[in-house]
Amino acid sequence: MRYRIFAKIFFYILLISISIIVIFPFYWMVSASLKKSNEVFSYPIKWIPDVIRWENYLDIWNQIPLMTFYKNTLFLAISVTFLSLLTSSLAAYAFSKIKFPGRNIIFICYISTIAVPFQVYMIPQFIMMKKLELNDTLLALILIQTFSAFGVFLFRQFFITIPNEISESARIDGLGEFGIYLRIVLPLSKPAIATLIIFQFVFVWNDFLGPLIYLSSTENKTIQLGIRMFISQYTAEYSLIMAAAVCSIVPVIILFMFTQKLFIEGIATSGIKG
Amino acid sequence: MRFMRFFVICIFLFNLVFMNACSNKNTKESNGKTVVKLAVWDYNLAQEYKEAIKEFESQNKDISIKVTDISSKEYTDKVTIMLAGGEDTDVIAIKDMPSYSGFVSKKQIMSLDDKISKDKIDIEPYKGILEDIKLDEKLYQLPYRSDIWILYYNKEIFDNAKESYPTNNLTFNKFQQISKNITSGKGNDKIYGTYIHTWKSCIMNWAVANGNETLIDGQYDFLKPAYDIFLKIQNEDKSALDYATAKTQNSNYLGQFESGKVGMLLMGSWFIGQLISDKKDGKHTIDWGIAKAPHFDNGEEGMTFGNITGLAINEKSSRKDEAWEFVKFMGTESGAECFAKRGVFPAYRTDNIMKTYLSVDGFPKDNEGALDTKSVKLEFPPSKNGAEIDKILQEEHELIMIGENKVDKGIDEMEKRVKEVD
Amino acid sequence: MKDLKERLKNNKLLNKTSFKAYMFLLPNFIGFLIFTLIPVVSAFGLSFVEWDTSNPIEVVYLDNYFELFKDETFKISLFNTIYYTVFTVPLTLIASLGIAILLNKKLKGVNIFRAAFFFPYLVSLVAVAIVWNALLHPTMGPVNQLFMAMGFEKLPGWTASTKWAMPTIILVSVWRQMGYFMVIYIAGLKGIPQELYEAATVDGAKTWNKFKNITLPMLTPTTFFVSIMLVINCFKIFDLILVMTDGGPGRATNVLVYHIYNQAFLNFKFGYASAISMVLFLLVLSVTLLQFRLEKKWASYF
Repeated sequence: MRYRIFAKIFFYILLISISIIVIFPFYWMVSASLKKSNEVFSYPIKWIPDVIRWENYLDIWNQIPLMTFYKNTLFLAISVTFLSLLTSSLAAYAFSKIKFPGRNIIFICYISTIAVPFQVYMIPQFIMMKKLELNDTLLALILIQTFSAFGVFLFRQFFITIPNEISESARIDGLGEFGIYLRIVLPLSKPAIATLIIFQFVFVWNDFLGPLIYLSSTENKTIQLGIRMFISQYTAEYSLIMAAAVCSIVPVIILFMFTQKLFIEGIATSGIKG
Repeated sequence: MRFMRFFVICIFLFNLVFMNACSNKNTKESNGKTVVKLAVWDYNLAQEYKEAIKEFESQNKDISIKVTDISSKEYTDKVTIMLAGGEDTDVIAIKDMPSYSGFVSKKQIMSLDDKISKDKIDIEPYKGILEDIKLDEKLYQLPYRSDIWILYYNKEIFDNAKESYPTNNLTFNKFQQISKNITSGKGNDKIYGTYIHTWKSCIMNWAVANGNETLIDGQYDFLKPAYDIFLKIQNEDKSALDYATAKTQNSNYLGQFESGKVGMLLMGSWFIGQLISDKKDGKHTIDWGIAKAPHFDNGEEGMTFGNITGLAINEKSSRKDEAWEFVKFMGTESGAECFAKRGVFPAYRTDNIMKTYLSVDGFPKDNEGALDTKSVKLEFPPSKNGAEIDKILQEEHELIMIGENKVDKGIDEMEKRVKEVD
Repeated sequence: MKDLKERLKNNKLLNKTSFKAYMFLLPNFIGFLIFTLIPVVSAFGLSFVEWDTSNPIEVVYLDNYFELFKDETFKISLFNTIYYTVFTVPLTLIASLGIAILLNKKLKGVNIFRAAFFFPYLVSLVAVAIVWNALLHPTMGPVNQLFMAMGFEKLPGWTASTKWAMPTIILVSVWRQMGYFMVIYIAGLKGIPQELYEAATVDGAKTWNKFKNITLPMLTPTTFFVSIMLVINCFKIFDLILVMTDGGPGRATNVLVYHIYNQAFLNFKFGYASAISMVLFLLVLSVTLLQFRLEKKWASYF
């Protein structure tokens, strides 16, 4: 018994020390955002600011239309996440649970596109979007980001781990393919869904190149574009830059905490039914 | 079942926001005015730009300017894409020579010669710089700003070191000496004699200013004296922040000088306006002065180099006439007046405008001759392969500055690599 | 005769299920085809032409590919990309799996730890660059000062030296990505039925055996996904390098996508940029196919 307690304490110490190393730069970012700009680079590094300057955040708030940026980015992130959740889980179901001719070829097509750097095809894509008169709209970004291969690939890999016997027996019970997808496969894939939600959301939230290309008017700009504009204008004001950076990630942190719940539920369901 | 509910809520939310986004689209149309779209970088910083546009719009009631504001680092990329798409912008601010040459060779910006001769624009006040930026005998941008590089100094640091202020006839050897003399302190409180920014032009172009060579010639032996001086400052005297630190900290000349820890700074004249307006905004309290940039022993007082910034018109624009009105406004008398008032050195310099410029509130008064020049070399000449050569030189410059390559080796590498550019 | 009828019937059946499969695929595939596949294929086509986005396209057939052999920077960037990938992939894989297993236990505060490990992925790249460059400053940074205090004489120059720049990028990259792939691994671990472990415990299996015989094989699809995504991400590394070193010092961290980007947006050689990206594409494709093979082999475990 005593051995177990020691093991547990050791385990916590290990975890905490690794976490500190990992989170170190993040802490620096927050602490820099509360300093005076010329304190940011002093050596030895000041871990705690002499005077905490909350007004840095007020400055940010006054300098950039943060609410507009939040609204646009939130809209983009929610739309893309939701649409890709829906469409890619459907497609992944076909790739993993139904046998059909051309399955592997189409799947390799999907993965291959992940391999081509965006910098190469963004101009052909932009010209196409321009012909569809979708440039400078948020819709353009939704369309190009929703149907990426990433979601399909992720879901396929998770669906594969769900034993085929479960879907087979459901088929014998007279459930249609869509029924199996909706009633059996999806509920068993909550961890995968949570993962996709986080990843897609973070991807859209942090994406810079896409918005840079497609969005021009200020009322359409996303948070990353806005922050980048701010950085480029206030190159010397490091504390303000860091404050802006902190502002940009708060919503993502909240989302992460929230989706953690789905992971925990995942244990309960998949464990029993599997 | 919980999942169904989740989906329904999502769909509902989605529709709500989606309709919201679509309604955004209709607010764009304007009211009978011709909208000229202008692409610029860091628009929010450029107060003078805003004022000039306001002035233009009040003089031309039927034209309104719609600005696309782009962060400076991504400016060229975004403009490249906008131009590839056709008519996303009518007027483009030209940020540097390599991208200017690129737009010209891609036939994306139009030649302005006809417009200039038709409107009988007096080209005398441009003092010959129009010739410098012609490509194949044609002019594709009308400059509105023309900066020269000068010396800035922090009076307090000189006073404390009991050193007399820099004069207009400084040589680089003297510059190095002074820089060493006024360096003091250690660690965070170290006062540096000078600050060498990470741009290659901060060193290379002093050699360019001294002679007739340019950076696209492919022969780079003439750079050696400049490197010798600045490497001495950096490595032996340690009177300037080293390149590696400046680069890895993303140092900024503005922050360096305004923090009061740098005695002298060689920088373009755009910095004058910046220092004046920052002082007004209370961002610094430096008592600063200017002087002519130093010259080499075999050179002469007033030899320096400069950058030109202009506006160009998209070849595919359907509002070329209106766009030209704007470009003309910014590049001539009225625009120059707006810029000069804000401490920005305009390209169009009549005596009147120079008077306005020199009498800006906060302009250092004690050295009016500082802006007179003997010769001004272009920082980087327009050239088809400009961007590629520019990149090579910057890479090799970096290796020299961090001490990976000796100057001779670095120059050899430059020559070898530039030769391979077709 | 009978045989044929049978076959027809089978075929029909096949068609019916195929039809269903296509219906499942359709919503995603249409969008994928129009907005991703077509632009990607047209980029492939660009590698046979010269194009600067404006002047008429000029067909040059394989010239862009021949050009590759003469381009010294291409060779450097190819080497750097492989160097980076070879170290980053296994390190990240091991780190993320290790953390995922640590954090898959029922512990108090496990959520906070998970969030902590995911944070590096969220921190803005600008902050990442500034923070690491400050920590790793050659003379004044705390890391080198620690080394100095420990008595080391030759200190690494980190991003300020050509030799250390790439290892630094690898280090920062692992730090940044491990939390990301940890999330996928945790999701994968959650998918393993607990009964398997319970049965193994009844059979008296040791922890290590459980890990080797249950966890690893059951995680194969996840590992497959993680390793392919990692390989692709590594081959496509760009953002981090742009903010940390800008390809330097010199060309020490010039990687393929960085080179592609410069060729396209600095020199306006879109055809040549496409040709380079085809090399990248072939690299990724071959690695992916190899992993596909391995997955099939591994998959026979269950």
